[in-house]
Amino acid sequence: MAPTVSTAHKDLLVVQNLKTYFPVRSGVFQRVSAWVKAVDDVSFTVREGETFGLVGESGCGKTTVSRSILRLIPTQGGSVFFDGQEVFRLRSQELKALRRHMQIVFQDPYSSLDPRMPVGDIIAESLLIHGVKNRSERNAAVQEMLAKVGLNPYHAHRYPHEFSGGQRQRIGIARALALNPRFIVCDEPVSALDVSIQSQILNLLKDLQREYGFSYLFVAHDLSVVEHISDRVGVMYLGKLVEMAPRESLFIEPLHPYTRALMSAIPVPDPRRRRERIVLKGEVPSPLNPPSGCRFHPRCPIAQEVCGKVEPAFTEKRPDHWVACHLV
Amino acid sequence: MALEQTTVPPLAVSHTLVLTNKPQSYLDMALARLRRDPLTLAALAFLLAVGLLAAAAGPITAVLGVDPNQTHPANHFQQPYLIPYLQWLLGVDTKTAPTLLYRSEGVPHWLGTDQLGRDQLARLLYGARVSLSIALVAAALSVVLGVMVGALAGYFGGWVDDIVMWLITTLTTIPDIYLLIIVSAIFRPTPATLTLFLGFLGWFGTARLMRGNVLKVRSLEYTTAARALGASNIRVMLRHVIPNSLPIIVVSTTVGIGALISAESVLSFLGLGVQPPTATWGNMLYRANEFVFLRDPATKGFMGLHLLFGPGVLITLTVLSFYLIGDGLRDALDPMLKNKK
Amino acid sequence: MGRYIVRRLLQAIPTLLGVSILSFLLISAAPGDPVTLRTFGDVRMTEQARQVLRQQLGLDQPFFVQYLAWMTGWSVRPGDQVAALTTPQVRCSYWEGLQLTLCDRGGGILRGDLGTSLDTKQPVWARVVERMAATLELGVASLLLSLAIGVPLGVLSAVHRGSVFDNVVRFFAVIFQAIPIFWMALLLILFFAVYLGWLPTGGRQTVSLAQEFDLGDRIRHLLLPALVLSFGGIAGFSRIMRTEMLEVLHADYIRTAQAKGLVSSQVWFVHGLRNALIPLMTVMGPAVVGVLGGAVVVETLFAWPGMGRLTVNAAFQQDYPVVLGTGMFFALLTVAGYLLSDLFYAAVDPRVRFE
Repeated sequence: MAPTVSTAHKDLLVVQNLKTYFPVRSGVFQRVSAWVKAVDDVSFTVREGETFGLVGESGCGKTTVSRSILRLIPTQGGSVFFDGQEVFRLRSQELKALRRHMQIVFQDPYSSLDPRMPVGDIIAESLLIHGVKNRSERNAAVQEMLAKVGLNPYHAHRYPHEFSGGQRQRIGIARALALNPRFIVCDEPVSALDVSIQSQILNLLKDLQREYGFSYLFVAHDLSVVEHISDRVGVMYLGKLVEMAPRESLFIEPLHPYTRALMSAIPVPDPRRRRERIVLKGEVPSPLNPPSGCRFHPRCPIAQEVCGKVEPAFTEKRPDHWVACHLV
Repeated sequence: MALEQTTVPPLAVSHTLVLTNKPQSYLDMALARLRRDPLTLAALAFLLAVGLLAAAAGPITAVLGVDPNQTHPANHFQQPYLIPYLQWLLGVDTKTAPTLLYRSEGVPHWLGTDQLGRDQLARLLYGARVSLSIALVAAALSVVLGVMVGALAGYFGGWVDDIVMWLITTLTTIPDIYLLIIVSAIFRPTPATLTLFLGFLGWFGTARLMRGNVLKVRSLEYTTAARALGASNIRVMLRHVIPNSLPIIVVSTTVGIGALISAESVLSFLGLGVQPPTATWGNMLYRANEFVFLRDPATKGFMGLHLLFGPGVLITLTVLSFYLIGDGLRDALDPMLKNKK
Repeated sequence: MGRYIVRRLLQAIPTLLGVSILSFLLISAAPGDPVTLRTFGDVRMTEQARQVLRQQLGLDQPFFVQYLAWMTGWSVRPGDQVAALTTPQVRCSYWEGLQLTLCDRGGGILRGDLGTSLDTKQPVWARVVERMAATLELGVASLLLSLAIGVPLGVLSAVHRGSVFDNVVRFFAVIFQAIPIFWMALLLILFFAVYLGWLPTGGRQTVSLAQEFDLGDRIRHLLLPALVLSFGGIAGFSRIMRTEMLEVLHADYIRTAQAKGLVSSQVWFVHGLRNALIPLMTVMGPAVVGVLGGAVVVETLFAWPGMGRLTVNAAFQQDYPVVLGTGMFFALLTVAGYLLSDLFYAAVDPRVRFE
């Protein structure tokens, strides 16, 4: 086997100061009275061929980040570069061309497949959109994709409701693969599945990555899933990135108190080992009215006076290990 | 026998099983469910029969030797020939039938004649043509308008949605029969213009339904998936949103045709719809209404009562059939209507 | 609640505005010259006087100005034309700052002037108000009747789900929605009034010289039309009540009540009915529309001197101002009906107010 060219350090996707706010309307005339800052000033990069895991509790903005990158929802600021192209500045035709390279696998395998389309049509839709007019060519591609994701070729004529959740997720993956993309957003692709099916799908995603060499942005709320699949991990809290590091670095030495709290909640399959569980006090505050200073300070076990006043900068505390905390 | 059994490997059996189990689209499942619904099938059969009879009105009346607009003033208010004929056949009453036949110059008027001596059966058949085609064309018109407007409003939202919803709220504020009366008072309708009025005033419900469904479908992830693949708005609309809204539209349209038949009959009954001599079920009742209390000076029997039943029964059964089919379709299409998440 | 009422009242404004624009479009599209319509073809009128009237009415102005004139009775035009346009009936004045002449010819929809009937030459307003009491009497009676019959039918149907009673009720609910209301009315008149002779065939009271008020006589006249008009409501209400009741009966709090050992009837009526009635409020608006629509037919058939009959007669005589006037009036009643049902709904279900 020829040695693969090392592209691991080339940045494929660069996200800079991304801001996605949702308007809150009220009153008789439905004026915008406030903004929900779902994603507030988030920056990170995804390198060629790697898997970047994005974790956080539900409502922290991780899904919004992934949708914003793909321009599926409007954003209020920041920029995203894909292979040097500025995604938010693209015109509709350029954006359509770019979509060949950026795909997405959804969380819910039920609502993400059109119930009225046979599986073959679902997988071939992207080909049709991107100008593959020849039917037999499309059919061949569908057969190939089905085989790749571990389904039978004759499944192409069946309808989504005839499949189980895991099989449906395979169909969703096949749809994303059909255009041979370089970057795939996996938006909690296994959280709706049974635990026994989860590892099958995760392994499929890993195998496909090994074969094709694309990059993943892997969004999840389950740290053990992220640990299993990611090369680097970003931790989000209330619309902000609080820590970002290579997997080993993060899981061996989490720096941010929030990350540590999350880690302590991972069950360890070893009855003799005891870990101290850090239980966070209070609820996640509303992103409509986030706390001043460090957004985590009301729940932080080690918070000091400064935390409520000054917002901590996101700095590189160890090599390639970034964190936003005054006390680290 | 034993030999045969051993030659068939169990694997092959399961393989053929998989192949014979055909892929089932939602449509297949709905049709299978419809086939087991006798009430809906009966309603369908009735409508089919009425439709065929109406379509064949020309040949049928030619065979019977009657014409919908041929007047015989001397032969007005003749009672239906059907009952005396049956009595004659059974030998109960051998006099009435020949007398009736003599009065009508040998032409049997199976359902009697009206105040001008026109054959009621012929008028019913020709009336069915007018009533049904007005309702069907108006329904088609309002579905196309409603689906288009509703889909646009639901998909694009914003000010398009605001304006459409304002228009719909405004127009549904006035009961539709008043709108029709107002429009008919100002522009006296012909069958063609009446169809247009009904169609243009009938799309609000469909539009509202479509808009709601589009909002629902749009929030489902397969439309987001299509956009992520690079599908244009038009493509998302035509390939995903409209097909997934179709079941609910089909149901509402079926019920809508029934409502349109009612609307046409009410308007014609008030004398504001299709004008005589063109027969429709509604204006036949409008005429019949004038003679309901008319009694034969000699026998004291009601003279015009038979004119009341044919159109009334036909309108009721036809509208009922459309409602029943609507209900049946609703049940059969149920899993699709839910658009389950 | 106060804020909700204000918000809901404000929401009615665009609708009424829409109705007025629609009415104006229709009256503008009606055949005939508005000036001739207004003067009833007065042949003694000079051409010059007609021209002045035309200008006073603002008919030579842009569409929007015409609409404003129709709504408010004030017409506006550029330049100083006070001298040319002032007549004994019409006062005009000139606004220096805006260089506009403003003529107040009186009337206007907002001041309650719906125009003049072409037929009787009375104000439309007077003709409509004269008929309103009869329509309201009929409408309210039939709504009450449909509630009084439809709600218990629906509840019993749900409680005895699948029984013969349930099936009969559901069967008739479908039939009554399909049967043309005028045909039903004719059959009932034939049976009760002509064949049995129990009830009068029509009218609001027995015609006599004195025309004194006789409650029994009025009720006998009201019974048949109100019943016919309530059929649609009975069918609709019983269907909705059945569905809602079934849903409520399967709710956890009903099971809890039963588990606590409450008597069935108590459970149904105390816990079930109250919660099932709330969704009924949402269909009261459409029910009012349905009754007002049906009133046209029923009033015509029973010679009931209400607004519906007025509309049909006016439509026959092509008396557009009256037809439109009643139309606008019905729109007003409908808006009021929707408003009341929404407010009532908000009063019983607090969730609505905070949406």
